[in-house]
Amino acid sequence: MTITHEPALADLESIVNDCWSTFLSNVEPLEPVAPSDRSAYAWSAAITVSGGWQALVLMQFSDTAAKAVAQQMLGMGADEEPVLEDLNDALGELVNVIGGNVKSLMPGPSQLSLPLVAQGTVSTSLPGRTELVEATSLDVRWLDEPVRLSISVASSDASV
Amino acid sequence: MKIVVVDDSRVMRQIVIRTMRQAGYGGHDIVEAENGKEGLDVVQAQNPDLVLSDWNMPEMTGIDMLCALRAAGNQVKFGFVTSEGSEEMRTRATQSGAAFLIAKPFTPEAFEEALTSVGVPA
Repeated sequence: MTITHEPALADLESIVNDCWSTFLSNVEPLEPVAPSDRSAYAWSAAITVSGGWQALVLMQFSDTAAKAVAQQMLGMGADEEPVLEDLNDALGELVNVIGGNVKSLMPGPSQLSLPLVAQGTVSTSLPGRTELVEATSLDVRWLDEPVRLSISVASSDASV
Repeated sequence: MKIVVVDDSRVMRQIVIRTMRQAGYGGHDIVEAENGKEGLDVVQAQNPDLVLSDWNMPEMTGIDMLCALRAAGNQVKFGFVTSEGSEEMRTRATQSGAAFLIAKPFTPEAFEEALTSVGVPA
């Protein structure tokens, strides 16, 4: 029997494209690209899954991409500047939806945390766990800006 | 009809209301609440026709709000709009008295089908 500890890349692509077409009026599917340098990301949004499957779902955005997410989810004009509260809400809700969909693909029962949004990077740790290993990641370019989704699992569960 | 939209995300409340409008349900009276506790207060005070609620929220979750409503004898029509659409969640929602579960990301058609199923006119 094969036990899968992380979602397949094709599933992540499908979830991200569904979210982008629903919430961000994206017409063309986002194509995977090579990872960008860490310094390209100005915003992080994270959510954890605990229970039958334990993982950290992390999204990272360039500053321009983060602002565009907030503008489009809130129906703002391109000339309207989202405030910090808008960015926290929009990026948090996006990772919440993606995290919920990822969780639905994995063994349960498990619980989804509330999202955490931060400028820069967030610490990748789970309650009671000391080490996480990135198991799957998806790098895309949207509006010619880098966006990254990664799934990290406890190192003892990693199959990589 | 009066519809209460409960979600801790202002962005998502806005998207839900926008999508309902796209599905042809823009003519209803919409009341917003930020979490299950506030939703419970609003439902008890305003006696709406339908509650559309997120599941995972601070203060009080959507499922706890639904259970509190049913425990109090309130039979308001209730549907979830949540990022978690697994069979396990759908079963739990139905067993607790929800009429439907719309999974995020959603389409206007998903709202049309769900609202039609509980008799909400476009």
